[in-house]
Amino acid sequence: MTNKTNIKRLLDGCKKQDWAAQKELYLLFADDMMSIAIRYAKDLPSAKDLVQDTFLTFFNKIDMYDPSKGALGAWLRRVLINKYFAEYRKGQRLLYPEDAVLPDQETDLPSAIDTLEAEDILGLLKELPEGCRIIFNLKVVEGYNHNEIGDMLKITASASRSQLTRAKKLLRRMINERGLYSNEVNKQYRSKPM
Amino acid sequence: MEDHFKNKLRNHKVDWDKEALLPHLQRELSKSKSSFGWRWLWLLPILLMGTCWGWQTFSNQEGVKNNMPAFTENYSEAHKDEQPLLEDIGQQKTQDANNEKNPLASNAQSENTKEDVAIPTPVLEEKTATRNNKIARVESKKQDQPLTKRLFSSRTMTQQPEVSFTTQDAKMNIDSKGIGQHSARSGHSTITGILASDANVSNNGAAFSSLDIGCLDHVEYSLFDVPLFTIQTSLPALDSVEKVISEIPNWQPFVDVGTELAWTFRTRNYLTENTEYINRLRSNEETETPLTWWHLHANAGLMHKNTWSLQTGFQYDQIREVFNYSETKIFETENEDIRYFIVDGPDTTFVFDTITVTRIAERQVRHYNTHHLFSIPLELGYRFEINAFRFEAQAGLSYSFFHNYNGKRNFVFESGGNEIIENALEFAFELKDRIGYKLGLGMVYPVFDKNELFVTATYRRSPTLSIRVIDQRYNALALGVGLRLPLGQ
Repeated sequence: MTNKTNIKRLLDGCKKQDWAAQKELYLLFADDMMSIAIRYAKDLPSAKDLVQDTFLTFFNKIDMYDPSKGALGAWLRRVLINKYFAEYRKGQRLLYPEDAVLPDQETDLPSAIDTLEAEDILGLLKELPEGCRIIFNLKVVEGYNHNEIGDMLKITASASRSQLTRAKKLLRRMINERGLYSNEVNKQYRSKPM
Repeated sequence: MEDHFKNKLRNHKVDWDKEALLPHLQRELSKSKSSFGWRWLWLLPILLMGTCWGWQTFSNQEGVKNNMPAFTENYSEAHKDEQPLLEDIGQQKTQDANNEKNPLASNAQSENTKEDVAIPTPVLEEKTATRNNKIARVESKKQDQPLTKRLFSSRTMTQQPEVSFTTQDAKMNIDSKGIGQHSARSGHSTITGILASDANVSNNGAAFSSLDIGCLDHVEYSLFDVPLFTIQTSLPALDSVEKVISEIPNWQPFVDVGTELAWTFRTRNYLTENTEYINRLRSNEETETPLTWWHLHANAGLMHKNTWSLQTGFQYDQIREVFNYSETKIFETENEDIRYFIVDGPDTTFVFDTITVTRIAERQVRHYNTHHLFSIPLELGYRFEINAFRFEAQAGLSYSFFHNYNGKRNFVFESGGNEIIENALEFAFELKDRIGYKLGLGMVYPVFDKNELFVTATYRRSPTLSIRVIDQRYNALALGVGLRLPLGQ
């Protein structure tokens, strides 16, 4: 059975509220959803809640999903992001402070960034201001353009651009300040004559 | 940096126990499934009442022709060419003769007179069962014997051995509407009528023999003393009747009176596309400020098992708004004692005169406008408890059948200009859709034995009141008190 046929079968089962089909579909997409949720949520338990709420919403409103309009994974990803904005940020307002004067601080180690592992990157993202982090995620990782981000966050496209620039500067500074690069690169760097 | 971050994060897999989330997901899904049912549960009482009403209305009218017993069917088959209202088949000889004519009828009839089985079947001939006044007949094997007690099952109509009928002919006028009265006339040689079937015995096994049909003239029945003839017409639905009757103790009738006072605000919709006109109307809006909403109701209703309630009755709503406007007045005063002098060169002339002094004054006027609404509400309530406190959530509609308005308005005309208008018919508000809404939550306190005091917080929305190009509704956030008095306790 091809993957597409399998997903269609699962969707049919989910429409009939068949728990076996719901479970199978959940297990198929849970990891992908978690890898997205962990980038937005502040910690693992919050990410789990977000994943659970995403699947709940999807199963309850499965009739709204039209396979002709996109892949199921992309749909679930959008549901998760919408859920995050709708539920987890309810009553809060994203703060987009005016750009602090951040010097263009290119890292001393151009290759250092390339050596960062996913866990390191996640750690860095968690330390970004929330507005910057969300825009960085939406633009860099999810691939939304600034207009789409502006629509989602009810801000202008230029504000989104500005926050992205700020996020990048902060990330570079953090990398520089903390020496977050692999030991191998570190050794190479330190072995260079000063 | 962007590409690297993107690649790393997109391919990143979090090490977590996804199966641990499954029980939570399943539990939440089952909750959401059940909540779907609860969302529509408020329809149940209305459906139930409608079904009961429909059943009561239609079953008694049509029950007779659909539920005639087998005996009548056989007889009808045998006499289908005869008059629909049968008079008499006379003696046993006549019956035998009929049997000879129609062996099927004879067989069926003989089966019917057997002592163990008599299952009613649908009637084929409607001649013997007209809607309003039925005269049918019963044949009995034995003559000149009194009716004796008959034991039976209401479901199967199984006839027991000791059953027999009198041999007297009786012509039964059966009241097709069931409960009420019936009469029987005697004087014929054979018992006639639908009564001959097994269904002619009351559900509780009441003795048929206790009725002396020969001299029976007029019998009246109460609700629970169901007449034999009524059972004849409604036996298949008897269980449903029993269920409905058994539910009666669960429905508690009550009377509910209450009053509310609310802070009010208004929503307006302009029915014109002339933006300039709309702007002028909007600028005039602030002259009319909704003030208070006073509500009064007296309802009667039913509460099921102290949980669900449905009530209707009468309600009065008074909505007040304050109208502020400035009024310009010209005051002219005749001053008769004016003295002045005119200097003309070296001459000065003193003058005593009368002049008119004109003074223009602008004053602020405050006027109170009042809407009166008389409505019929239909409200559904659901009672629940949180810790030691008892609450009742209420939702309802109201149909306003009368509206009256007293007040002044600064009416802005589309053609330009405006005018202060007071109670002019052509500028009166009209009820447009007549339906108002209510959502409320009340806290219930038991007082005076079984009575209950309510303290409620309610959101109300008035019907649409329309005046020329303006549609407006008033909204209220009300606090109220009420008293609910259970009846029949």
